[in-house]
Amino acid sequence: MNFNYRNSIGIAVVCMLCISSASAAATNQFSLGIVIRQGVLKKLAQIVNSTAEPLNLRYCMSSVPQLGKWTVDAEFSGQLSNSDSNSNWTSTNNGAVLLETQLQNLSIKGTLYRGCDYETLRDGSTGDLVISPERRFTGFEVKQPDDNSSIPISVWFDPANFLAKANYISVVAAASIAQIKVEDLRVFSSALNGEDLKISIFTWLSELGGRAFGIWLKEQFRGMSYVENLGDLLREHRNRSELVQFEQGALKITHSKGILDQLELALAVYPRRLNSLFLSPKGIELYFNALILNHEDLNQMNLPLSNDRSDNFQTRVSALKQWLGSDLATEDTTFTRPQLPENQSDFSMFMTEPLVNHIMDRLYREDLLSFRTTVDLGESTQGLLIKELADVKMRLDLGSRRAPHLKFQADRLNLQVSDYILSLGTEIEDRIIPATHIQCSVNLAADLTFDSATRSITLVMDPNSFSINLQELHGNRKQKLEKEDLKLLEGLAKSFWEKYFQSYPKLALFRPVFQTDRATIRPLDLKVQDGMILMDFEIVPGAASK
Amino acid sequence: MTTYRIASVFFFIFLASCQSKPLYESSQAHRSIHPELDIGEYSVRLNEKEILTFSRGQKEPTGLVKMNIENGNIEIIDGNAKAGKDLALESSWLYYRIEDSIYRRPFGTGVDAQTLVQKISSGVEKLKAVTIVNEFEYLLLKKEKVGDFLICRKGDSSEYVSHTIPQQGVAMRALENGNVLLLIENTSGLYLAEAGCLTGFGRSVLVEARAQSNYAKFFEDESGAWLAYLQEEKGTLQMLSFEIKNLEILENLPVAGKAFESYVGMDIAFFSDGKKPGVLFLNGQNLKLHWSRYKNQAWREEPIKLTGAVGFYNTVLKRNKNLLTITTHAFRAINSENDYSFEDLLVMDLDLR
Repeated sequence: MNFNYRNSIGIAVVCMLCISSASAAATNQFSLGIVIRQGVLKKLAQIVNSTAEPLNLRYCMSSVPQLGKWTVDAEFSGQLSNSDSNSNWTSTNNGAVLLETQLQNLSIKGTLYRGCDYETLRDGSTGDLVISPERRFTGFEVKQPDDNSSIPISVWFDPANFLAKANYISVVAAASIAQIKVEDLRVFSSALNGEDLKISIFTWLSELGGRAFGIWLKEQFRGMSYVENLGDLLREHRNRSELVQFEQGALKITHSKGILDQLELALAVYPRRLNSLFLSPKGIELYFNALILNHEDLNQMNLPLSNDRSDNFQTRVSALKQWLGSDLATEDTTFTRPQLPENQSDFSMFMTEPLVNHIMDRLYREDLLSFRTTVDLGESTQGLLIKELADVKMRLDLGSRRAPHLKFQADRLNLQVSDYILSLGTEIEDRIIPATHIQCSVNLAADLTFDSATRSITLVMDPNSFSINLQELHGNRKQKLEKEDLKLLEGLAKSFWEKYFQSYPKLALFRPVFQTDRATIRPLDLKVQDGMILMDFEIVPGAASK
Repeated sequence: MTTYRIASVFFFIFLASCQSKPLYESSQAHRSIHPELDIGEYSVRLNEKEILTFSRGQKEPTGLVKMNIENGNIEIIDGNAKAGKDLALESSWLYYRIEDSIYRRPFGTGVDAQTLVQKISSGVEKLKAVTIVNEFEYLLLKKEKVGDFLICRKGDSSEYVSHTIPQQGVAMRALENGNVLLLIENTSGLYLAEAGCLTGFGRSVLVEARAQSNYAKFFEDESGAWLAYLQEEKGTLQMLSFEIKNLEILENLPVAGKAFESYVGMDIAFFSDGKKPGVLFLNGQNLKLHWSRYKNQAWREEPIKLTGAVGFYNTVLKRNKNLLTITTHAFRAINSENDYSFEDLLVMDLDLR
């Protein structure tokens, strides 16, 4: 049995760049959830069994009356049952859960030392106890006499406090099967294997084990924090897509490549401090906080920096990773536990509409998605308009006060761009001389897919659903555009954007990163449901795919 | 595709109609200095005969140059500054931006300064103004992605002190006490605000509520202290008279353009003209050089008859009685019906009578 499971599943959601633009948003944190279902127990057992590394526990034993203090250094190994019928969990009304499985080939080997070098450490602690060899008292071994027999494991687990305690019935059952041997005090071995004493010892061992398991589980869960520099990932995506500009006739859209080069934005995902774990018939629900931070945000957090204390973004991202793994991290976001749909996948990850739109907001605020559209009059109107205007460029600057938002509909997404301002001006020398402003509202239907090439969750636009509405913002100025002009512009924009989305229909949104040492995570389904993006995954035990 | 082409034609006709017409008319009331060069951007007056500017065409000389407008002589100051912008001459220092870096070099001190060029800031989108007063050096600049800052230092200190400007700084001038006076734009309007290098921003006075501006210039002569700025929403050129000591606004009047119909007031250049200064500027709608003068108790705006798209980077070289010598830059100069020239430096004598 191996519980050395650190970093086994680190999950992150990474937002990917693409097209579009817009602005401003709150700096709130948002929730992100994972639900693990019953069927995953069998696969987890396979993954756990696939390792040869035993679990090492070293603890100070001081709670047994009249025996004084002892240090126990023990090595546990065994095989979890991977039979569906033998592995199960049952939730209870008080929020606790009964985990049931079976253990084969149980082996506990260890050594008993007199006293504890650190008295402040309590029983069950897996802290760094130092062992003095001269204090060695005896070696011991607990094992199943029959290799084919199974020991039932039944553990009550309180997810709110990360406390585990073995069910008494399973302790009695385990005690009846296992045998205890003491190397140097063989005379006591038979006494120790007496039924009453053995049950007492197993009860005590199960309490220690339960506490150790709870602490271990808490550490694993707290370790599921993830920080990614979005700038690096977006640059990687940009280099792959090479989508820098798009032209149709005299219209040209250019990505602001320089701005992307400077983008420094971190996505942090870390477990909630409270209400982070629930157990229900639908599965184990894990809840995380997600937030996006730029350099200024990180500066304000006064993170403990490493020795070089450089004001480098990457240094601060590293410091944030350390900090999130500690118990010091920020308060939880406001949270409402969602109603999860029934599902048969191993586990699902879900993101809510506010989080998706928050990510788009923050990206926009960093000016990442700026577009520059230029119209070269000289090229387009050669011989048609007065010659004197050749070489004077009309500039259409697209800028919005709000980011494009994804509207979650019943079964699909709708990309809505509103409050979007198009500035029309003459680009000459080092300036743009404004002519007028046009407000645009755009709607575009989209479906979600998992793009295997980029391993990202991708919006696929439907060019035929593109609609645009334009309105001139002239304020106190004389209106410069007639209705016919706006209709003309709408037709032009529709033609242009439809062609654009036909050429570039994909908008990479998120990349779920699964860091698994011993399993492949395979996406099964991706859908919009009940105001959430719901992603279903299957765990395939075996070598992890990158 | 056919539909698109037809739509495009209408679209561009519509775009063209957004500009006032006619844009260009024939006139030969100017001299073009070195029309073979692309020259004249970011011009700065050096003295009555000379300007500093950039030459950046295919033909040599190129770079930051000093030009004598009487005999056309050109002296290269920095041959590496072909892409230079935002030129400023302050005391005996030249400042200019190349890409996102600000450089400064001593000028006019008799020292060959190529080896003394200092890079003093990077990540800069625009150098808006430079002021050296007493021992303090101030730079008003816009940093890429970050916003506007007033940075300053005392003497040759290696460290600049940085003061954030809430929205944007538009123009700057020196004050006798070693501080500077800035025209600041924030969400509530335009303000005159005093700032010290070590003390930061101090007193301020509202210039115009809810107004915005990207173009402004300070001026002072016997007639008083003035500030001209382009009021972005109305598109007018405003002339502000103020008293420096108490920072009191005396008057603020539109001196060019029609509210909500025009866009006038880029490339402002002042000249002394009696009770109130005169001002040259670019009319952004017809790309013409205009001027406005206070005559017969009223401000009067007139176009200056120059052909082409002209009126950029204006300077006033001298006033000799009733003759005002100015330079301006033409994006396009029209020499005759079929003779066009781009990126020219024009010199013109204006009769002030």
